[in-house]
Amino acid sequence: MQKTPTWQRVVRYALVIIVVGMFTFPTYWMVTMAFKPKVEWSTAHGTIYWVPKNPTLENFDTVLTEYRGQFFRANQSSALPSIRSSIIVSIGGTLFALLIGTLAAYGLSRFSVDTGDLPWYVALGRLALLILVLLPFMVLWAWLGIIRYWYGILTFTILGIAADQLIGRLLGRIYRGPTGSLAFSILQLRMFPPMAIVIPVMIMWSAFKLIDTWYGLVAVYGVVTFPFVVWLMKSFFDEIPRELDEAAIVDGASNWGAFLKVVLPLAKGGLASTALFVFILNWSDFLIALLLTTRDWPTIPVFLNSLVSSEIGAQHGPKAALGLLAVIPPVVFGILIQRYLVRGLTFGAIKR
Amino acid sequence: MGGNVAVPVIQDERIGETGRVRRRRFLDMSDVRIFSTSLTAPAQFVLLFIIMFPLLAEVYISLTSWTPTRGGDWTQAYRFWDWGRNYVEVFRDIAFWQALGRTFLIAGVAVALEFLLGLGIAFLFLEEFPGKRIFYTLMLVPMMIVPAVAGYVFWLFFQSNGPLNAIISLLIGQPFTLTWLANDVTAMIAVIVAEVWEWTPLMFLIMLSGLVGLPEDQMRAATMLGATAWQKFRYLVLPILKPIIIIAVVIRGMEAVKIFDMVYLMTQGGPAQATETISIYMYKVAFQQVRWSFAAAAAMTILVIMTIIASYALRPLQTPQREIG
Repeated sequence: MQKTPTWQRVVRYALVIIVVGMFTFPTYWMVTMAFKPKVEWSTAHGTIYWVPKNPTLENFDTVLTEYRGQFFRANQSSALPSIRSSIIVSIGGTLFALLIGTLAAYGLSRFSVDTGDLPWYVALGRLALLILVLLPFMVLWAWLGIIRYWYGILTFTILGIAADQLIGRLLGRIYRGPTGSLAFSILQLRMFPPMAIVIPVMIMWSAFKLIDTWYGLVAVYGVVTFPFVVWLMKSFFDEIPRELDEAAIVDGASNWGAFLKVVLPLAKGGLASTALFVFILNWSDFLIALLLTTRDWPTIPVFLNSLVSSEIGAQHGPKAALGLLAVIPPVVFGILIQRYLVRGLTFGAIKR
Repeated sequence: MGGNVAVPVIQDERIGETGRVRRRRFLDMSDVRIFSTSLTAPAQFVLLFIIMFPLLAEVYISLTSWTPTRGGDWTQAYRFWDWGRNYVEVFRDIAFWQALGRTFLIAGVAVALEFLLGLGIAFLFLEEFPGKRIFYTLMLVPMMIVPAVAGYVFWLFFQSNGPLNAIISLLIGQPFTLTWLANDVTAMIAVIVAEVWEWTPLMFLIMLSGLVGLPEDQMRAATMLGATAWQKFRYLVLPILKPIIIIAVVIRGMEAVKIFDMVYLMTQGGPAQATETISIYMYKVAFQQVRWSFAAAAAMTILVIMTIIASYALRPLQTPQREIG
């Protein structure tokens, strides 16, 4: 490579500093605010402190220790329960998504003949058929008054799944093309705003008494994020030559043995990066936790939102402190699996 | 290895010469069949189990004029059955279409900016310079910050006595007190800035990985043949990066249309409806106006629209991509 002229390098360096400075400033603002005492973070006086004059840990103290009757809308008096809740729910949701997603990804990678190119009119046609068949049953269940209870929802769901499978078979006879591959419908799910389906999910969850429980949230997080697991893990499995599975089977391993003992260990880097990506998604979720938790299991974002004091309104300092604490888990996780970070965050687009 | 996307793999003995699955016999219990089914069944079952009831309940409620304020619980909604009135209302509701348009506007502008910035910054990071490691890490930090926190920080940022106005005041030498979030256009800009700030690092990461993997000898050959920087970019870098760019833009676009946290925390869709995206619109209809049956009809409409868009938007991902690096 020829040498770049000095002036170009200087200009480039200046640009880097300006750009990175601009992108870092909001973070800087949050970090410094976390260490500012109340007079400095409260905007009431109209003075702006660019650097904390008297750095203090009092914001962390406010957030982490019990506070007697100080918080106005927060249901918890300290952030510790919400931190515990966030950790349990995010890890649980990630494990759940990894479990069902990895199995499905391996199945799709090795046995799928469906290229997944499903035209929208087939997808919607199938959906319309399903609705047409099931709507009378829905009304009937409602009229009988059993849909309100968990057993009503359960029987209806089983009926629905049976109807869906039947319609799939029937459509397969009429329409000679893909009639709904798992891979594709899974991906389509990602584009659908969760806001739109959340009301009936709330109804269902309250019937099953899953509102404001960690397992209720874990189930939703698992379902919302497992499309990513399927897609990412499939790209990793596709890279592992299938001759390896076959060799293991020839050597006497069962199908499951070949998968669990040969293929899965080879994909563990992929599994780690997928786990990080899914963990970040779960960790940063606000909407779902906002609607499905109330008193016992609010996650960090939900708690943050409710952190308002009766005396001085919004608690900027404590909020920033908690925000800073919330950065730690993803960063630590990211450093641990640094080698696989790029691949995971880029959705498997980049193969290194 | 070939492409990374769904090259049909033929191992199942049921697959004939043409590659099409032969009609399955009733209860075909071959080993492979059982194995492949037990792999995909849990995911399929869990998905159907969670989606089935909410979907049908949504359709059911949307066909009535029931709301929690009209008495009875939702199961009694059949008493207020009124066929498709809600759907007609959704189609007539200007706010719905405006919110939809606004969502795509915000997503489009934000993703375009993220892409251009990400690519530009990635070019800056191609060569060595002192402290590169630190700058690189700092550049990735925004991704790790919970959006709920980021939205809040940006809300503070755009206050009339916030740091942004203070910086502008310093630069122009006189007090500058624009209430960013109280003005239609500037509120929109603020939301887009926050979104771009949060997600440009991801684009940067993807683009940098793509650029680092460029074939060096081809670049050198182009330089020796006297190609200008622009020519090298246009005819060498861009075509090679194309698959990566497509994946990055599609993935970000898919996520961007769901934008909720940032808007909810910064403007709540306001002033008036100036920054109301489709998620915020749904939230307001369902939880502030408590028009559940209308909200359900709007949700079904969005489902149809998004299915159609997704089937086209995701198409580039279905064709095998070239590997890089």
